[in-house]
Amino acid sequence: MELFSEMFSYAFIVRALVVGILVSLCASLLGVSLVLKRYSMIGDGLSHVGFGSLAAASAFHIAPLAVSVPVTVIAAFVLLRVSENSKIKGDAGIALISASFMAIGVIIISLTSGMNVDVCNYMFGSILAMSKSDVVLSVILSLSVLSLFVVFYNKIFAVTFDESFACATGIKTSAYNAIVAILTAITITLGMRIMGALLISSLIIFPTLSSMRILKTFKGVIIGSASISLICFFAGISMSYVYSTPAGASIVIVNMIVFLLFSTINFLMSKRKFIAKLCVFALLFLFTSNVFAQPQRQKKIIELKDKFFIAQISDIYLNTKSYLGKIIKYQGIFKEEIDENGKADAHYVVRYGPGCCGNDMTVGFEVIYNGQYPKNNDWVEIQGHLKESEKDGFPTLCLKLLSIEILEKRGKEQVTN
Amino acid sequence: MNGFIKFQNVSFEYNSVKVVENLTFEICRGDYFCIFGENGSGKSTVIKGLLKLKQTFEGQITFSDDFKRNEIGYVPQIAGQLQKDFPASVFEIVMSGFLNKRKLFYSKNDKTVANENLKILKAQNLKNKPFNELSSGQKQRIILARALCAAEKTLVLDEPTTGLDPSATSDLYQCLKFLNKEKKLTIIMISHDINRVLQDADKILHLQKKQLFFGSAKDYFNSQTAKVFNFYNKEANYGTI
Repeated sequence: MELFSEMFSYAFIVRALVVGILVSLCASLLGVSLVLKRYSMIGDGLSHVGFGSLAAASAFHIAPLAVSVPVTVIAAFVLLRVSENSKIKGDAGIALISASFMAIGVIIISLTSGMNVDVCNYMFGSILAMSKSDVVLSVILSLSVLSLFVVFYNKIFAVTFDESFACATGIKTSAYNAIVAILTAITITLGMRIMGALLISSLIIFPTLSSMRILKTFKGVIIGSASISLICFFAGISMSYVYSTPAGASIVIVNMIVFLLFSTINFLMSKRKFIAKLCVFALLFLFTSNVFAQPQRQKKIIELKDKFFIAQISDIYLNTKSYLGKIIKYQGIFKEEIDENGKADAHYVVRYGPGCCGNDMTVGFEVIYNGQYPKNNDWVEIQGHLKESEKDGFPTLCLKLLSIEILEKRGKEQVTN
Repeated sequence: MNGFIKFQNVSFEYNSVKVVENLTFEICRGDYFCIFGENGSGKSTVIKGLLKLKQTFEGQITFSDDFKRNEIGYVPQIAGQLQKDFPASVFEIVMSGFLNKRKLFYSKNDKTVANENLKILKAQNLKNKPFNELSSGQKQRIILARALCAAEKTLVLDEPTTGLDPSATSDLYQCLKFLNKEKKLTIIMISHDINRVLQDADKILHLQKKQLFFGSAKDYFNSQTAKVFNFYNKEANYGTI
C-alpha cells in the first residue's frame, strides 16, 4: 500500500499508468482478433515501421505522433493487403516491410542528429517520454479504439472466425479488416512510448494466448485477455518502480510469468475450468480494489528521491508549466562553475547520471541563493521555487532557494533512472 | 423463367489455368438446385463465384435486382476443418449467422430463432460447449445451424454431409426439403449423394471442367450424363421422382 501511494505521488507515473492502461486494453482486445487470424507478427512489423517514421519525424523536427500514426496506418493496410494476395506470403511480407523501415530509420538517425533521447526511448520504451499533450492525444485515440471495438464486437467476431462465410453472406469484410488494421496501427504507435518498438508486440500476443489457456468462449477470452493485460501492466510498472528495471521489459516478464502460470493451470485443471475462471476474477478484483482504495495525496513540496531522480527532472523540463512556482526539494552535489576570471558565476546541485548511449551526464538544476553558498562538492539538501531563467540566450530552469543545508552523510551520487 | 442468378458463358481460372469454362445456366427463386461432378470438376469454384468469393475470368454472372447478399446462408466445404484452436462457444458461432442483417447487436428474437435452428439440427445439447472440442460431424451441424440463421431466402451448401453419420445425413436432407418446400428457401447445393438428392431436387447442373448437363432432375435421370456417371448406382431406386 505504501508502495502504491508512493508511486502515485509521481505525476509522470500516473500519466504513464493512464495511457498504459488504455493502450494495453486496446492492444489486448485487438490482439485476440489478430492472434486468431494468424497475424501475430503484424504488431512487431508495425512497431518497426513506427520506429522508422519516428526517426524521420525527429530528423525533420516534426511532432512524432503526427507522423508515425498516419505512416503506420498506411503500413497496416499494405501488410493486410500483402497477406491477402499471397504472391508474397504474409509473414515474409511483414518481415520485408519491418526490416526496410528499421533500416530507413537507422540510416536517417546516422545521417542526422545521431541517437537522441527521444529515439532511444522509442526503441526500448520509457514511461518518461510523455508530455501532457501526448497524454491527451493518447487518451482520445485509445478511447475511440475501445468504443469502436465495443460497437463492432459482434462483426469482428464473425470476420475473425470465418471470413469467407462473413463475406459470402454480405458482411463487408474488407471494411472490418481495415478497421482492425487502423486500430492496431494507432494502438501500436501509442504503446511504443511505454513498451518500446522492440517489445510492443508482446502487449498484443501474450494476454490473448494466456487467456486462451483457460477460457474457451470468444467473449470469455476477450474479457480474460483485457483483465490479464491490465493486471500485467500494473504489476510490470510496479516491478519497474521497485527494482528500477525498464518498464517495457518488466511488463513482458510479468506477462510471461502469467502465461506459464495459466498453461500450468490449464494442464492441472483441464476438467475444472470454473475454478480457473474464478481465480482470474478474484485476482482482478484484488488488484482493482487495491488501486482504488488509495487516496491521492496532494503534495505541496515536490521531493525528488533517489528513485526516478532523472525521470522526474526530465518530466519537470517536459511539462514545465505544471511545476513552475512550486517548491522542489532534493539532495545532491553542490557544484560551482568558474568563469575565465576565476570567479564563480553559476551554482548547481546535481547528481551523476548514465547519459544516453554512453555520454556522461549530470542531472540537476542551477540554484540561486541569497545567503552563503557551501563549498564545491559538498553534499547538500536544498529547497527552492522553480523559476524560468535565461542562459546564453536560451530559456532554462533554475531554483530560487529557500534553504540550503550541508549534510555529513553523502547520499547516492550516481543515479540511473 | 424468373432466373434470379444467371451465368452467361462464365469461366474461372486459378493461376491462369482455366478450371471450368462455358457455364450458362440460371437459378430461379424457390429452386432446389444441385451441382454434381467429380473432384476437381469446378463445383466449389462455381459456388465461390456465385458468392463473389472468386472473380470470374470470362463471362458474366448477373443477379436480379431483388437479390441481396445478406439473405444468403453459406455452408463452406469441410466446415470441421475451420480454425482448430478458435475459442468460441457453439452458441456464439450460431448467433454470428445473424450479423449480415446490417445491425450491430443481437435481438431477443435472434436468440429464439438460433435455438430453434439448433433444435432442427438436433444440436441443442451442444449449445454451451466450446466449438473446438466437438467432433467434425458435430461441427458440421453447428455450421449448418449458423447458415440457417443467415439464410432468409437462399441457402448455399458445399458438400454439407461431409462427416455426418447416416442418420444425421438423412435428417439434413429432410430438413432441406422442409426448408425448400415449406419455407420457400432457394437451395443451392453441391453433393455426391446423387440418388438421395434426386428425390428432392428440381434442377441439376453436372460439371466436368465444362457444363455436361443443365436441366430438370427428371431429364437428368434419363440423360446420358447420369447414366455414365452413375453406372455404379444401377440398383438404386429412383421410383419416387
